[in-house]
Amino acid sequence: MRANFKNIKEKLIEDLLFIAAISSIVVILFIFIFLMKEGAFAFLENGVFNFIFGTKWRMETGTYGMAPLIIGSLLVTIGAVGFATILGIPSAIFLSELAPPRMGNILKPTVELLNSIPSIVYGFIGVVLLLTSLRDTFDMIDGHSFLAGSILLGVMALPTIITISDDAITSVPKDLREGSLALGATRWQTIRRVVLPSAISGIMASILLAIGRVLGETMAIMLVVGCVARVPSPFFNFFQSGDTMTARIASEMGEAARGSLQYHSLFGIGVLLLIIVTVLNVIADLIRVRIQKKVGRG
Amino acid sequence: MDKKKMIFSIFLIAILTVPAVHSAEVLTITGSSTVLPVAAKCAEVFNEKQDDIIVQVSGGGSGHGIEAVATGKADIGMASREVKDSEINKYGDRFIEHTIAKDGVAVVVSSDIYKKVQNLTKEQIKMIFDGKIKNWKEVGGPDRRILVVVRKSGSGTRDTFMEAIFGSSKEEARGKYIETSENSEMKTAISQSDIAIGYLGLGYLGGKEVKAIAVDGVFPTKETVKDGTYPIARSLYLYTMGKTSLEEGKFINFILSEEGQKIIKEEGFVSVR
Repeated sequence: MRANFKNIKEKLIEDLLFIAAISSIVVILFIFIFLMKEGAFAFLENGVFNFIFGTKWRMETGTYGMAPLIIGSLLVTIGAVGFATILGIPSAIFLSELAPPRMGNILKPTVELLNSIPSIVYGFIGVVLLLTSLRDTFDMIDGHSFLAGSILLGVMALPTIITISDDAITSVPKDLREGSLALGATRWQTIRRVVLPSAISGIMASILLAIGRVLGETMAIMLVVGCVARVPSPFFNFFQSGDTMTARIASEMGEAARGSLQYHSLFGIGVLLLIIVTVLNVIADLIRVRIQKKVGRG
Repeated sequence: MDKKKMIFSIFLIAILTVPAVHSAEVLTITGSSTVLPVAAKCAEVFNEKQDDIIVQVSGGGSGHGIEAVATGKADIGMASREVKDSEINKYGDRFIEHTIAKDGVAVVVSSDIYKKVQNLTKEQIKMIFDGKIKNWKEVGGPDRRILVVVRKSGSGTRDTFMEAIFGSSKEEARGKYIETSENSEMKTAISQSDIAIGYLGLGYLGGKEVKAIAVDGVFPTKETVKDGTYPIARSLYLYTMGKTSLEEGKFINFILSEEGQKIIKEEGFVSVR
């Protein structure tokens, strides 16, 4: 009897753990289904081509074309990830290869702290400091621009790139490094020819995750990008104001009447965003699996 | 009778008698989202003051409000515009109009610009917001580019401005460079720049860095909005159909009373008293 009870208890705990484990999958599934259900109407009603490539997003006339938002998101992402990569990867190399332990002990937590600052605080700092200084430096009409968004989100993406690249570089086996040094290579040659190539997949994964982070950012970008849904001219003009996919959802969702075309179109943006972010995450995961196999640790 | 049963019966009696005690008349109001916050606030205070009438307010747009009151789906329709001829043709000329508030939108510029430009015509404002005038020197200002700040769609202030300047709230201001979510955000954007133009609800004026200019020679004040000389203004209306009933009259009189008009001022509109 007692043993039987114990068995049931064991089984119960097992089941509960299983439910907890599976819940995130269920949630993701529900999000997918719900978004698809609400967003599909936008693709049907606007027409897939017009919805994705249309250059006007205007609630007043009921025209919904995502091109300005997609281009906006693309520009900001390229700018921000470019900025974060240029600053972040050298910083990761320094942290893992060159920094004395005491310095690393200060630098690493500081970088992680960057990650935990709420995005609205970044946005606020952006509005107060970044916008005016950009305007005065580049003689722009106003600081609200893709450039401002890129710099702000670049700073926000820095910790993602630094911490993951740092881990990837640190996990390169010591024997590789020592072998290279023993052959007479200098420290820089070792880093460039041996360490970095071995860590490249981890670094790539960090960049992909940073792209995901930047694409999904909303509050900060809304405050500094200008929120004007217009294709910049020329289309790569970082010095103009514009809008991104996430910022548009956030600015219009409160006003959209439930069930209207506007409401469904906003969900349509969400569908596209979710697809892009999912693909990015899957690729980043595949790379992570590859690196684990190569380096041979979990 | 045991205790459980007794509690249950008391509970049941309570439930059954509540509607009997509160057999108040329900007054439904629907329509413009611009009028909605004012009407909802007034309804809240009004419902608390007396027990005979319960006012229920919902949104849906001016057109919806007029249709609902005309077809009897609602007792009172809210509108931020006058009833159209097409609606009178469709539903008959039995609308009774009650003006409950006025709403004015000031055109504002950065203080540096205000030193030289203190008056613009409606046509000049339209050309600036449409991106046809791009430099302040074309309207008598310094040789600087113009930064046009607007509000996001869905804003009542934007609608009032677009209707008065462009003729319809469906038009697009092609010269816009920044879209802001709120009056306060607009104010920040303009005060940070020294070459900006934008618009603000009357209640948000004030401060050194953002200055309201005259439109067609008239400065925006409560007086000029009330007497109709300031051009970028509109009235907020309640519409009833046919004879105004006792309950409808009571609520409308409440809004027009000193207490109701105080709420209207608090919501940033101009009182009609």
